Amino acid sequence: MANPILIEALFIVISLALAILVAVRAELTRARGGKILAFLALFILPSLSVWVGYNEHMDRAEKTQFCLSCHVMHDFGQSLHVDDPSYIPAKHFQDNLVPRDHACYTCHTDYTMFGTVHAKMRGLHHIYVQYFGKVPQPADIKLYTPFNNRECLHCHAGARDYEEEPKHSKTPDMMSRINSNQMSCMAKGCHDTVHEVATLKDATFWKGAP
Amino acid sequence: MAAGVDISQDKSSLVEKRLRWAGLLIALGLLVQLLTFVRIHPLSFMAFAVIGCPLVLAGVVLYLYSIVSHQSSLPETKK
Repeated sequence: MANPILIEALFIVISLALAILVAVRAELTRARGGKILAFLALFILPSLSVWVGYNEHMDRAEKTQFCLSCHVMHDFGQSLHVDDPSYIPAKHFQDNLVPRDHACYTCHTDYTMFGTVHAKMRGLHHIYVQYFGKVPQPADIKLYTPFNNRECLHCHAGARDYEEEPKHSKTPDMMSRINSNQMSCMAKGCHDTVHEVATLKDATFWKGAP
Repeated sequence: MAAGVDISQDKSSLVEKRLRWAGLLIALGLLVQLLTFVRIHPLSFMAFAVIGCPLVLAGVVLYLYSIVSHQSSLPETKK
């Protein structure tokens, strides 16, 4: 199967070649066929190419490689490789509970109707801060709002190891409180070890994934 | 009559000049867009959004303006 990026690049190359043709031989547009060519080369194909590029960049913005390419995210990337399953991101990354190439986005998007839009807007804000603002220290980076159980339950709801886990039913109403986000999955004593970038220097790392 | 032909040719060459610029802007924008595909990095996205897209958009707008202004400058046909 052909690589989608190659097809997209080929489409843009064809658009580029036709735009150059019209730029160099504008007199072609005196004829009816030339007018149609100009309409294709200067309106239809460039518009489609921008749409193709926009989609490609939106897809790329969901990749782990994209998130970790900013220096400030380095430690968060490292935390995915900690050799300790109590680190929730490390456990999910190393056991393929999330796709490794979309590890950040899978947990940090909102699983709501406009969740993707919200995630992209937050991403734009991060890019703005990275290039035009004051970049905080990794340990000072906090979530905008407390992590919503909805994001965990998007995958774990209904799963046997979640539903039948005795610790999730310590009290009769515990499961309903977790499901309604009244009790956080990351409450103290539960899954409270997350990226912990401030203490990473003392951790040991798994060498298994790139 | 000769003056009329000259005016028509002037308008035609003005339209072609605008089309050349439109093609050039679009070609530059698409080239930038192609280059942004090389690396997965926030800077690539920035280059696409801040340089590539505006260049292509400017070219498309110039093209549309050139055909609209050309149409409006044509003499009205008799009913």
